[in-house]
Amino acid sequence: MADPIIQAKGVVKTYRSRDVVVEALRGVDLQVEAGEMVAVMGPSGSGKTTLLNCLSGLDSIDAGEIKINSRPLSGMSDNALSEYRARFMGFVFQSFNLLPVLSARENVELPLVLAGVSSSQARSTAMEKLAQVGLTDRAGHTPAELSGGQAQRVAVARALANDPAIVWADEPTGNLDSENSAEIMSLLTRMNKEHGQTFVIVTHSLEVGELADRIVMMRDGLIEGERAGRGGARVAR
Amino acid sequence: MDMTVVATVLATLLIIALAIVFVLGLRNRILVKLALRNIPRRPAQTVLIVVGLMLSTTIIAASLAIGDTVAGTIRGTVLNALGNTDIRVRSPINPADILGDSYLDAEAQQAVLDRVHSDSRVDGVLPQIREVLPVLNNRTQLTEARMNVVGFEPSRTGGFGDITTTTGERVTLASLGDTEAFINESAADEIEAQAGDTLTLVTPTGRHTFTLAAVLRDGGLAANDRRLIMSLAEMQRVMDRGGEVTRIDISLLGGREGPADLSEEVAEELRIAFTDEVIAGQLYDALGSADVIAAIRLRMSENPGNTINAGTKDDLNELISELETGQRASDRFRALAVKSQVAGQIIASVESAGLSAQVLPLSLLFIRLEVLGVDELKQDGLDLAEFIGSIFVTFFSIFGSFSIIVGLLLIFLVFVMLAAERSAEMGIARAIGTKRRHLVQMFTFEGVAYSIGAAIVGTIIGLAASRLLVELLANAIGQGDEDSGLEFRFTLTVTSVVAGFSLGLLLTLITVGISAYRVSKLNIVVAIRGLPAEFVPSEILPLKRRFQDLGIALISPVWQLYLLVIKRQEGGSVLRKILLFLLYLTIFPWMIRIAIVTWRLISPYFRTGIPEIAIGLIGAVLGINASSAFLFFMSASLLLVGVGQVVRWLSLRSGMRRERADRLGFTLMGGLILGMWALPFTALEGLTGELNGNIEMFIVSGVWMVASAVWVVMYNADILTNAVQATFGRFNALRPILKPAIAYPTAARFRTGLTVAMFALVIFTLMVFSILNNLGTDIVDTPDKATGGFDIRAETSSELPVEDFAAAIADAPNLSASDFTLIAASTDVFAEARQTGAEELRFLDVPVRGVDDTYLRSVQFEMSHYDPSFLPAGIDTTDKRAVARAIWNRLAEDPALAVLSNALLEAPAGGGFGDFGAGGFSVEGISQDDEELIEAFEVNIRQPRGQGDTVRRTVIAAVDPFAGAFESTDGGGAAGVITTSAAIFDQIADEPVPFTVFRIQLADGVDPGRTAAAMETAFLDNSMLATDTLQEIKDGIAQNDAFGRLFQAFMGLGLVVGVASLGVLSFRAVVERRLSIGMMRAIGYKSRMIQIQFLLESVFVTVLGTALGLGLGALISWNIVNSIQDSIDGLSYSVPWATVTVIVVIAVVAALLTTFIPARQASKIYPSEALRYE
Repeated sequence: MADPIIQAKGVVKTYRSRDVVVEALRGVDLQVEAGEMVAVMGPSGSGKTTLLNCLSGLDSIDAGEIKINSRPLSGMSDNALSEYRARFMGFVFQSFNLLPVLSARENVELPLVLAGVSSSQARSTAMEKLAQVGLTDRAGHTPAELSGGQAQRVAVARALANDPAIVWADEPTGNLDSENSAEIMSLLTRMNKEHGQTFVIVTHSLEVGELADRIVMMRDGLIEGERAGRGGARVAR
Repeated sequence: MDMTVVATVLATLLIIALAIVFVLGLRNRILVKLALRNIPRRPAQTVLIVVGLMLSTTIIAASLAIGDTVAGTIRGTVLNALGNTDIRVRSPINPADILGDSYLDAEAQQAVLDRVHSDSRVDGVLPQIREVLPVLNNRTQLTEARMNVVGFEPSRTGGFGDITTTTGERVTLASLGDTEAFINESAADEIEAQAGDTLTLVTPTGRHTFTLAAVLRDGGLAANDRRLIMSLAEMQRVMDRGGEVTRIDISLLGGREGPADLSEEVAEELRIAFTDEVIAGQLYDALGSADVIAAIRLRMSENPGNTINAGTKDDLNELISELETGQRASDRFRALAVKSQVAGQIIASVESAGLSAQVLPLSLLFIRLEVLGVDELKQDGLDLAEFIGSIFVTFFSIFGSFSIIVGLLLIFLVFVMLAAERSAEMGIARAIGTKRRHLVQMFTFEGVAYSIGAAIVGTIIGLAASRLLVELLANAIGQGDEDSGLEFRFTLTVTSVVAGFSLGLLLTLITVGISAYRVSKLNIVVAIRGLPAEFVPSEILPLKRRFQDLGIALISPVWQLYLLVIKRQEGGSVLRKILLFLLYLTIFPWMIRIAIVTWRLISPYFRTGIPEIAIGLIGAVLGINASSAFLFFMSASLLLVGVGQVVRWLSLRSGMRRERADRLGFTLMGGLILGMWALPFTALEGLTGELNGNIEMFIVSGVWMVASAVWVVMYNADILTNAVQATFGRFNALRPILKPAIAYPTAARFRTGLTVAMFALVIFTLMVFSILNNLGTDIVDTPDKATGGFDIRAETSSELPVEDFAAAIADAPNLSASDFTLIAASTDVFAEARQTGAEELRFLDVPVRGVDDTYLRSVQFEMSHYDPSFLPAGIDTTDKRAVARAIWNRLAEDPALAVLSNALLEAPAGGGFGDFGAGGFSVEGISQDDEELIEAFEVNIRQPRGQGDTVRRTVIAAVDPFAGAFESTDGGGAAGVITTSAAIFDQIADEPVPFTVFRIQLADGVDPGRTAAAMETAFLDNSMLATDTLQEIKDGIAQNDAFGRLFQAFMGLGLVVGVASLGVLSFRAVVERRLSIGMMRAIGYKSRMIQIQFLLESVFVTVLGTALGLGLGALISWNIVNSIQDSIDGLSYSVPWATVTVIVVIAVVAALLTTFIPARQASKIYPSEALRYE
């Protein structure tokens, strides 16, 4: 079997602001296999988002080691990290985070254009992805003209536009009602199943967590334990 | 208006405004604290805001300081030139009048001395002779062709100050022996003279040798011109004028700068004293007849051509009442009758009433009334200094006004940004019960703090800037003419500093107040949720409520009384009610309240556009009736605004989406307005008739054009976006940042539009100015139009004329007759003229140039207007040179024909500042910018003051304004002359008039500069000044260019505002878009890409604004050039690409520099940190 796509060993992250020192991660070990869907859960302040930021290279770490695709992130320059993210990763955020001045289609095109795809190719891929999330008819609308659920579906389409190996989702349903949450989650699980992409989802919601293959529980900057989710039936462990 | 009054009023208003803010602040200290807390939190932004706010003050302060300096410089020059002399008594004949003799005999001198002898207000009387004569320093062989040679009566120099040598020794005139003289420093420098040198002085009686006793410091009696000083007796000897003087100076108590009213009082008494008593009596009787009084009254009531000014009208009325008292030739009567304006109007009245028999005798009486001329020399000079200073202030303020407007726009933008930044905070404050006025106050407090800081810094920088500009100005003037005698001294009055500071701060405060009010009108929900809404339309109260409010407002005091007495529970505390009641009783607040509620009542209807159309229509009609371009075009613009609104409103009602309705309405509105202002100036004349506009139209048109163009662009930004992407999208590296870089600014329509407008306005002025500045320069390629085809212009003194010029050249050892191809001779004399059939019946002053046959046969000045019936058949009228030649030939053939300068035609409506040439002769019925074909007309010409015979000349053409435009002569060449054959002198002058000006064409290859210098030496005895005409033009152009660059630099100050505004926007954008930046970084944008995106946004805005400014500036300049092309031919429109490039580069580089810091901040945002703000 190939190496796990995400390997984290002894990850420590400490925030200092004036006199206050917050140990957000205090030695986290985590491995995620390619194609796995992992939910990270835990109470507020347990270090979920920090872990996600560190794993995805958005934040630096103070000790330990993180490898993505067997490549260590430490030692990569900011530019190299950016390119790595552009090539291998997609992001879904709690507050959708679409550029307000661009239309839904243009938002989905961003990662494609960034990767150097030609304009016409980017356009057709973006429309394809919007079709996958069921928003073909909203392609020309700006984020302000979309509902929360629609906006998050656009965000998902954007995250998947480049067919990334890993999709990071930080509270993807945090701003949505239960109906829209369910819709987004079914979308994510469908993508996971159909395209074999790896998903790491930070969430408060047990319902969301249960949809993952594996649920990692965090508390006070440490992984407290883990268990299989309902989606985990197919992973032998 | 008196600057002191202005400054006092402004300062008072400012103190009141600040006092109100202070009291409000005392009552709400917590708000003050909240407001001020914001200032130190963001130092970079605070600096930008202060820079933006200070600019208006800077420009105002700089304009005033430049005015001060110019006034101070002229003042200093006047005082230096006059020393203690306040009043000058001279012959009634103007000393500049070469046809007359201006010497005063012993009897006249005695009369003056007797008159002031016992006057305690007078501390000195000094009879003297002043002549302009050539002087040679025998030691250095250096010459001064135009030395002011003055002889003072040594026993009477008391009261005129000490005379000091350059070594600091005090000397007296009495110490000078025969054939001894002093020289002042200015003159000594010129001919390198020192004590002991012998000088040769040339006078009409021959050559005289003098020994220099000492070199004197300039100032006082030594003045500041180039001056040789001797005793009166010596001067009388060399001029052969025993016992005579040219003038008598009077010094009043108070030294160099005595009280102004004292000078006026004494001068008035002297004027009365020096009128002829007998003549005054005869004049009184002549004027006292009923038909003359009736004639004067008639003319005053008709006032044809507005030729009678208000002051003269008052004088005439007073004169009539004097005539009616029957008190024969009172002092008051004499004081009035001696005024030339009064005399001229009376003669004109008599003439227009058909009392032709009385015209000549009355004219003679008026002429003989004045025995001696009395000039209030110093006061006139000081008044002139003030006047010219104020012209500079006006000039600089007008050209600075764009920058001032731009500065005020920035203040508004800054406040919108501040409000956007705190909208959530403010929304919450409102939600928990803070009143709107508290928000207004909070912003006002913050704004006042910024404004005071900005006004202080602005005033200081403005003064520093003006200091620099004065330096440049001095250089500009020095470049062309080192003899101008003006020595620029930086001067500053407290009045100007106070006025500049107060006006700048007041303007800023008013804008701050309006902005604070506007931004406080936030929708609480929108604000808390942080939705993007820069402006929320204010809610409209129901109609019934609005009417109710109006009703209450109409009876405000009664209503307060009602609340006070009957409804005690409503409307606040008892004290407040009493105060309001008392306040309303002062009427003004009551009126303001009525105005506000009335506005609230009707303002909702303005959204339909119908009131705008109605008001616009009424205004346009009024504008046409009043021939006011300002009123017409402003109203027409309002009307077009209404049209756009109507379309928008109807579209909305028909169910169109708001976005599309806005786009449709605003595009239409902007397009129509832009179209109207872009029309050639005369395009609408068929509809409106001729409209009068002034320099304000330039500002108004610029503001409207820029505003409407920005509307159109901002509402159709997608077209622009697509165009940019189609152009630059090819570059792969740019693609991911290009889209957001354009999308962000075009989405924020208001802020971007405002910034684009700021750039566009400033660039617009710069463009117009540089195009117009570029116009004249083609004269270098065709200098003949300005020089007449002559290489040298040589002027001699009329006292020392050249008898036979050609013979003199042949005789001169240092000149070779073969170098001189053509010698054209002429003389300018002072005369007065009247156009036959004109409404102006008076003869008015005008120089007349009599020219010889060579002149007429060779001169190459061209014509701006001509009567085609005087051209030979078959001439090609498109060949300007041929037409001009034909006209000059006609003048050579027929001495009864004449031409006159274009400047003597009617000035085009609204041209220039004030009436500089007021009082002089001008032609009626032909405007300078009319078509070139005219019909010949007649003028009557005679000597000044109605002396001698009247001669008739037929004017067949007007000489192009380029002719002699660069001549700087003693007589003031460019002001306009009537040119005709010198034969006229035989008819109007009593004695032969010698030629004084010689225009010379040199043989090929002869150096004009060197020849001119040689001529000055050879013709020293004739006091000759010889000028290389081509060099004169080059110097003149260099000087104009230097002025041009100076103004461009001044107007370019506005760019600072545009740039500051970009900085404010960028800083704001970094804060606003943190999350988006985090997201972009997360999905793989490199930090450099973020930085470039921000820089690109600024460049986009800058380039857009610059392009609009350049385009509109080019357009309006084209219109300007077209409209004046008719009167000034040879003008060609050309875009100064070099200047355009410089402007664009400066704008873009400045924009990049200011955006650099915020862009860097944005790029340094760490993605995980930015996203944590979620």
